[in-house]
Amino acid sequence: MQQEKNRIKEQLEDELRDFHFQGEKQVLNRLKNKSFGRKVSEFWNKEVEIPLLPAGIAAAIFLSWGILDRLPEDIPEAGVEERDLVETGGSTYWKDQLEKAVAEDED
Amino acid sequence: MRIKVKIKTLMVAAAGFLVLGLLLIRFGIPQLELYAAQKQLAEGKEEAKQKILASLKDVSESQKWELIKEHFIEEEIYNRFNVYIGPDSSFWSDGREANQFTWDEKLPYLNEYIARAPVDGYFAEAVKQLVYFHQREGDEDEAIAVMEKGIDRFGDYADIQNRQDLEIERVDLLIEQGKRSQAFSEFKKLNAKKAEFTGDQSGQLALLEARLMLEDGKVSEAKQLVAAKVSEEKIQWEKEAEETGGEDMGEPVILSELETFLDSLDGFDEGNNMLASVEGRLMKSDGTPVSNAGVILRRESDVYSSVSPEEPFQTITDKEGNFSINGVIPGHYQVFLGLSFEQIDGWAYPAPEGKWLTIEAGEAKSMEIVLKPLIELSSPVNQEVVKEQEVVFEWGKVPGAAYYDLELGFEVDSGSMGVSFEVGITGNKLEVPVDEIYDIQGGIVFSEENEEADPVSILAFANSENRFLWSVKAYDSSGNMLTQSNGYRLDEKTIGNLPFFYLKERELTEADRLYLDGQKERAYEQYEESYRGNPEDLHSLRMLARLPSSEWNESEDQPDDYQRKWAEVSSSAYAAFSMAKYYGQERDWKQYQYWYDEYIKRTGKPHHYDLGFNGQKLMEQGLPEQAIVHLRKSVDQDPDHRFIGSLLAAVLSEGAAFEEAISLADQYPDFMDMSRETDWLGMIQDMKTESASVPGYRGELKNALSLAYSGRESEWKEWAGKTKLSALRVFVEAAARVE
Repeated sequence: MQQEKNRIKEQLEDELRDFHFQGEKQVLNRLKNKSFGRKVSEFWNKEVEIPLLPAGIAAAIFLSWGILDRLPEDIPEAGVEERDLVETGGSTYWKDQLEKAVAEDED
Repeated sequence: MRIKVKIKTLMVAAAGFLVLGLLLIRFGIPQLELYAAQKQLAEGKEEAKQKILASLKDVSESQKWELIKEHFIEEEIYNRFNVYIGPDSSFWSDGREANQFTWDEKLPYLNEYIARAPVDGYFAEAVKQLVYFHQREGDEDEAIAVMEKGIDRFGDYADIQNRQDLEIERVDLLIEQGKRSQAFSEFKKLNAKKAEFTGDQSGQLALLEARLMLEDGKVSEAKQLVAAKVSEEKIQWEKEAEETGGEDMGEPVILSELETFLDSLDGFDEGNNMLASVEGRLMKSDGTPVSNAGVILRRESDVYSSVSPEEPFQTITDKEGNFSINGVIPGHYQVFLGLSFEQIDGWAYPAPEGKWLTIEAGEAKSMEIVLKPLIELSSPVNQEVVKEQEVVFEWGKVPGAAYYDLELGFEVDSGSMGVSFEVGITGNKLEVPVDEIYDIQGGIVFSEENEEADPVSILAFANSENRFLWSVKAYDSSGNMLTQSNGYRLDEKTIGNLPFFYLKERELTEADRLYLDGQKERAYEQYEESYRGNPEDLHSLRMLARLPSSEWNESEDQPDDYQRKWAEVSSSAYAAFSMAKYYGQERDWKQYQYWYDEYIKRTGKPHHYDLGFNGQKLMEQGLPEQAIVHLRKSVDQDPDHRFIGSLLAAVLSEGAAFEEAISLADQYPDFMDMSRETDWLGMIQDMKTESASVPGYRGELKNALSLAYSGRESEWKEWAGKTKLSALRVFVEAAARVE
């Protein structure tokens, strides 16, 4: 096995005799100081494990904080605040006001 | 649960959310705010208005046009006023936005709308609104400029009918500005393109032409033109009805508009100075001008329906409350006002010249309309329980009031039933024994299912468990209403004392309770038993007399013993009148006179109806000279001149000249019934014409009248069947029908 390896090595060296590797320095540099792009790319593709529930809640709170704050305060429900007019004995009153006045008289 | 994600994915998602959030904040929230503001606007919140105005600045163009349409243009068309109030009627709509945009707020947006919004019906409406705003502000040139711009924007082909509307409106505007020659020349241009006008627009063009003819005094030409258009439209209407398979289609608005116009020219001949004008000022008695209010002259045929934008004589008051209406066709009108709740709240509207305003040919009428504070009631009010033998009605004194009328009412399921109680009260206080109130019998409410009367309405004011109400009206010495206690009371300050009270001087008897409980027969027996046991028990007698009237058609019947007895022993004016009516019908004149006099004694000052009724009975007795006295008073006091037909019959019987009758008929038009059957003026004019060629005509008229009033039905019918004097027959038949 060792013999075999040595033989291939010799052969390889023999064949590559005319080739000279000059980027040795760069390669070493690269390995020691990763480029920014590479760092980003590594970070970018990093996988994280997220617990779904807490994350979901956090996201919901975050999103709603921005929006709820800006929602108009009271969107009146249709019909709730509308006032009715009533005519009684020839005069016209707001129904709620008349009822209130009548109730006061009865007390 | 956990998930595995690449940070890259996580970041993209977060960025997505962020963008979404920003978009929401930028566009979604303003929309939500706008939605909320629109809702709040309906409740009249001032800040909602400001929000809508603010959002008009940053919504998309198409949304801006929508907002302008909804809140400016439509509001102005449909809900310009909360309340329409006339001399004796009033109606309200609460669909209006309580806090409407002011013209200062609307102006920049309407200008923008007219400059850039797509042209359609809304666009034409916006142009009209803006034009009349400038016109009211006295800026006639700007009004014309806006009109021109609006018409230009339609171009030659787009939306031809809306353009034509504006073109017709432009001529109207020129007439209103008094630029007659320009109006005529613009009209000529339109008339040259007459063939392009179809449907409503063609009818409107005819009306415009007729109005211009009236400006020129060409009354009969105008009549001919409109009459021709009416028949043309009728044919068209019938044709359309056939095409839709005989489906019942209401009369087209333009057709009735043409017909009303034609009717209003009735009785007018040629005359250069026919059209009249009305100008005036609307204010409150404290001097505040009522601005931006509607003033509408409503024709006889219009007053019983709601105010329509098609009615020709309407305008809006300016900042100082001034108004003017030109080109008014002479005739009889009711002056209606269009007001906001704030404007009418706590105020009464006394019509300027009484119920009907008469406008003469060529008249330049000027009038001041002054709203007056509602009368405050002081007692009995606020559901006070009266247990004394006497009720003291008291109310706030009205400056300048000569007398007051007092009305009483009781509550029924469907509302309340009012009855005139006392007229011509000179002070602001009235003391009334409770028995007099118990004796009032108001209107009877019949249930729809079994034609049975509602016991509550029969027991009326003797029902110590029901709630009663009252009101007063104040009049000046010439009989014009000054103010009243009834009206719009929409604020804690104006709501005032409530006009409700209870009468618990008496307690309900067992029979009363049975009756209220629907057990009519048992109640009747019980009342009989009580009365027999105690002839002093007037309440039981009262109810015995009243119960038969809980069935239909009682009035024809002979009064039974209880009714007769009740009429004799009680102070009930109603009972005396029923007796008079019965004996009048039987032509038992001695008894009639006794009961009529008794009725007047009990009721106090006779009502104009009573006077007219008695006048008619005097005609039936063959006493026209005495009848005239009563009928004249009745017609004089009655704003509707209900008995004018009888008065005419009486004066003609007494030999008055047709001219005299014509001037009476002209002075007192019959407003009770708008149909042609009561066109007394026309009928008498016809008789006058007919009489010219018939010797002995006046003698024949006198005979016919006495026959018609004699009660000899068959003789009268025979005469009416034989006579060739049709105008005479029509008049006498109509006069005998008056009631």
